[in-house]
Amino acid sequence: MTAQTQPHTTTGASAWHITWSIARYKPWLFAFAFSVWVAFYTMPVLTGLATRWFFDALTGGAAAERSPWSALALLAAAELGQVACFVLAVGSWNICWSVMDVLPRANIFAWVLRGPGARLFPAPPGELVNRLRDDVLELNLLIDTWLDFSGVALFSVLAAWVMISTDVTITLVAFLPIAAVTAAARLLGQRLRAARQASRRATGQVTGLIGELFAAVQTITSSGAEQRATAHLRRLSDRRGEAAIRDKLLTEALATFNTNIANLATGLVLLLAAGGIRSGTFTVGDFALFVAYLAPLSSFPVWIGRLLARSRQAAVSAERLADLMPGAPATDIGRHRPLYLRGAMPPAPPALAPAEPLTLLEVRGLSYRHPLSGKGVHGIDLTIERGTFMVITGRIGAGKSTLLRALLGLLPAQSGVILWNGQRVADPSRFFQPPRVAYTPQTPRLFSDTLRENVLQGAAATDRDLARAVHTAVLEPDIAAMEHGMETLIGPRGVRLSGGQVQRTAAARMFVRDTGLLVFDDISSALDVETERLLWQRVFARRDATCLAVSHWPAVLERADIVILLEEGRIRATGRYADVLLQTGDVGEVAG
Amino acid sequence: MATLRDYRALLVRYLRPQRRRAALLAVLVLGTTGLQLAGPLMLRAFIDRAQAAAAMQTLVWMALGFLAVTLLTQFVTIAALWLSEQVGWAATNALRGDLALHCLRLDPTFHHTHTPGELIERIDGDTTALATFFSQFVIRIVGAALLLTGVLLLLMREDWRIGLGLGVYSALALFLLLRVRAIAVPHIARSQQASAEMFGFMEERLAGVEDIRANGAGEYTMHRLLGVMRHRFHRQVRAEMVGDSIWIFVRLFFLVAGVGSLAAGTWLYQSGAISLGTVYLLFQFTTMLRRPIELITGQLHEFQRAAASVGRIGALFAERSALENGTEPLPAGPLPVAFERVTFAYEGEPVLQDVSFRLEAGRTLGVLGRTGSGKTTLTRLLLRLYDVERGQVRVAGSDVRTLDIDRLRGRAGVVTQEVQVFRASLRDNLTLFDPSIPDEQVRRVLNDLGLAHWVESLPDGLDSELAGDALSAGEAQLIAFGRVFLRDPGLVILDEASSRLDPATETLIERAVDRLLAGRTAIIIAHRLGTVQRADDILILEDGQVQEFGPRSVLAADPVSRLSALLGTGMQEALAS
Repeated sequence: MTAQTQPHTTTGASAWHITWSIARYKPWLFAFAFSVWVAFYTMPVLTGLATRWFFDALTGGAAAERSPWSALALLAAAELGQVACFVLAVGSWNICWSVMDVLPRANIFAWVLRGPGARLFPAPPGELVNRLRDDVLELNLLIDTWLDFSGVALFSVLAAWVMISTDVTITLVAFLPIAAVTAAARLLGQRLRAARQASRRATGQVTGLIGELFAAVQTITSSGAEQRATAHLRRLSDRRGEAAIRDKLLTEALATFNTNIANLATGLVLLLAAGGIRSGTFTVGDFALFVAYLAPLSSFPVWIGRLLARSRQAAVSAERLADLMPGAPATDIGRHRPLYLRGAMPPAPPALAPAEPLTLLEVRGLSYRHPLSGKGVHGIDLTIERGTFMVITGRIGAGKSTLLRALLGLLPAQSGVILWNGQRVADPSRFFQPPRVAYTPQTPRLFSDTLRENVLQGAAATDRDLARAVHTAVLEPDIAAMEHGMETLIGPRGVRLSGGQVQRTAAARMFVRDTGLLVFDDISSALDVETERLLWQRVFARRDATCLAVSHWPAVLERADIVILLEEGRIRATGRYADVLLQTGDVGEVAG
Repeated sequence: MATLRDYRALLVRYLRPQRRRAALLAVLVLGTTGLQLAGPLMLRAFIDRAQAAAAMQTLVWMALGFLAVTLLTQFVTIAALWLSEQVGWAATNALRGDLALHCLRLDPTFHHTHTPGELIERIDGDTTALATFFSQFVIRIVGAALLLTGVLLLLMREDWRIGLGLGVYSALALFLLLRVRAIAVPHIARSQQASAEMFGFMEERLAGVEDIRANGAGEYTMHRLLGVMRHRFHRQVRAEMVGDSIWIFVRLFFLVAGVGSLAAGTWLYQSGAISLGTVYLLFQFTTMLRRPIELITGQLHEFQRAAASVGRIGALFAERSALENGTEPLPAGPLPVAFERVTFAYEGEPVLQDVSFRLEAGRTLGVLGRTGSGKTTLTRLLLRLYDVERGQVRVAGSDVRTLDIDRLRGRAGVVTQEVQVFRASLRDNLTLFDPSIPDEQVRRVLNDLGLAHWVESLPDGLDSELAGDALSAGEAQLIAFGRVFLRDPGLVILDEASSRLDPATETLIERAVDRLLAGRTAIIIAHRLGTVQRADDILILEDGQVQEFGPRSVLAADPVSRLSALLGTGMQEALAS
């Protein structure tokens, strides 16, 4: 059985590993974009030299080696080259960036949909989407920042070399404020990180609440709670605002030093060069060159700080994303896979390979405990033979749904063995799928699509199969009443359908898969007596139907070959309904 | 698409409460501009004095003055930034709340066409884009415009031809930039729409991941997602390319302006009209033009995003509920209900036809009928989630269309089959975020529902945060009962309310329900005969029409009634439960 999910520990190094892998998805495009960006950032070295020549030629008069006009032409050429680099860089990087946007999201979703183990998410879907939106962005910004940093670094090395060869002392003094800012940035780093995390958390709470409010809009409106719910949202928003301002202020305080640091350095150059300019040993051209270099140079520590901050933030984001794929290595976020962004889309996935049909399903000692409430199921033993109908019943909170979900691998069981025709099932979450098993949960989730899409969900079924599934689910009178029939759009999460229609659509979705074992979690909760009677009648009319269901309605219990009575997560009684009633001696406890 | 009027309306509405902080911000921005202009002027003076071999002491004092101005600039810049963030967040938090409230108040037709994921993007994503815009607008755009004007005025003072030339040139450049912006905005809007669709798709699938996996639809869903992402990819690349073309334009502009001003400076210097310090000043000021214009266009990038957001926010605010609000209040106590020849169709499909019945105050009505017979629609019309097509729905004698919607819904308590649990404290889940309800009252209700024990087992009692999957469906259902109990409604609607409860737990709340129904009007919708045993009156619906209506005792005693037929179809076990 799968062990309890271990929390992820993602280090900064693995965040680098992930982003680097993402960047290399299109290696040549990335290499090109990288080169032109670096060239773009380095061009100002030439511009600065041309400026110096210009001022020196101007003051040198006729004695100057060049005329100011040829220096001007050089300046124009350098600037033009920089614009050309910019055009190429922006064009190639936009494509690179948009690809990088797709890859991690595709990887995470592929794991969510197809990876092994249960899917217990750390947050509601609204916040998960927030992670897929912002944390993927944060991860990619690391590469983006690294790109800029590389350019600024190369420029800084070349510029420093030119400056030192002009005047060592003035260069060193001019670098003083830049060094001071670097030190300050390091000291602020810790607080910056805490502020960023707090801001993220507060944002997640706001988006999570918005998602929940609109998923539950009917609850809110029919209770007239719009004002109060919004007041709650405003409270969370205010807290988020405070956190965001703190975060922003720390980040921007460092960034605004940028321009002012250049001026501070200029002031120091003035102080030291006063004598030199007066005596002509430090020319106005030299001064112009220093001032021209100091502005981009002073941004260097900001870029170092930004790169450090980004790599820390990327580590946090990588961790938050890895939480969505427990059990998989975090590096899978950056795995290379076909994305089909251009050219023909691949054909829809092929039909499922046939599997060995069920003859005997055995469960031994299955246990699952909910980590927070401590409730769950303990030491469950079950045997289901082909063609039988087993019903699990019990009070609220007895663990009926938990048992089904743990059996199907939708919850990570802590212990127990499941045998399918005598063979041990290693990963129930991937094993208990069509063509072996299909499942209708207690609260089925449908999607904003047509009814047909929702039933088929990619199943390779003929129109006859579909009609048969719809018939078994007693859905055809409803469809006949809809103007667009199977092509009716059912709205987000199926809101345009009634509760009963949602449940029967989910049942049809299960039937169309034509599996040997059908698992129903309380199918009757939204159905009327007559519809439910028809549904069960039609299910049993299907050949070889083996059913496992949760129910507490006597009509269903009486029909069952085996009734399992759960109490506080343990099997209290097993047998036919009448036997269970005898064993417990208390009718009220089973079905009132 | 957003018009200037939309911007202004938003700015006025949300910045007005921030007037005083905004005024202080304006002062700080003016101060920063002045300090930034002082720098190059000091440099010119320094160069000219140094060239003229002035006293060393004078030069040192000038250099120190330059340093002092720089430090002051840093301080004022940060103060302005802090203030602008305060203003921005206060304004957009207010907007976010208003927008959420507006959307919550829209009728169900709206919610049937917009996923929660999409609404997250439109309410939070768009306002956040605006937050940056609000908080930086004053400081960046206004600050940049001031600096631009200052530089041009000072240049004109040096040489009116250069000043005027650069002024006209800048104006032309900004005009062209605005044109490029207009081209970019629709592309960005389309890109954002594709994003919203993608995240909406993801949100729904994450919520339904168990359904997808257990039914083997993983591969297929992945295939669909790749299609959705591919669509967004192309939209995004296009929007970015068009948006970035502005930057190329800005760079070309400065290339020409920079070289041009140096050429003019050379000519004036060689003709002896200006000093070397002034040539340097021209050079510095032309370089300084770059920052405000770059900032304006940089913010234009944000502006484009914000423009698309303003357009979408405006469109969201323009969504009107089909329901006109009334003004009449409701009396206290149990509320009588009457349907008079009500006909209603949803999206062209008839749901109710000519439905009439009268429920006296304090009585309990049981509604029976097959799935899709229109039972739930009755309650939706009663709560005014929709309006009738013909006929009238009356509560306490008034047509519901004349009643204040909030008060109407405030006086009705509903328990539906679908219970939504919020990731909030147990208290907020029960009171639906009403902090005015005292804890004792909450505890009393939990006690009545037999949940007192359960609450004690929670780590933080009423403050415990509930997560959707930690509750069983039955517990969630009990929470929904608790919500109604706390509101003391005059009309109670139980819509298939007991369907999730196992019979034992149902017995537990039987008494509580008895208490809830006592002295209140109630409508119980149930598929099972047993659950309407407590009803005084019975309404049987079929295909949206009243098939039978009358006191339960009378109908049950009548051997040819539909109720008797239902009772006789071998469903006794349902009755006995």
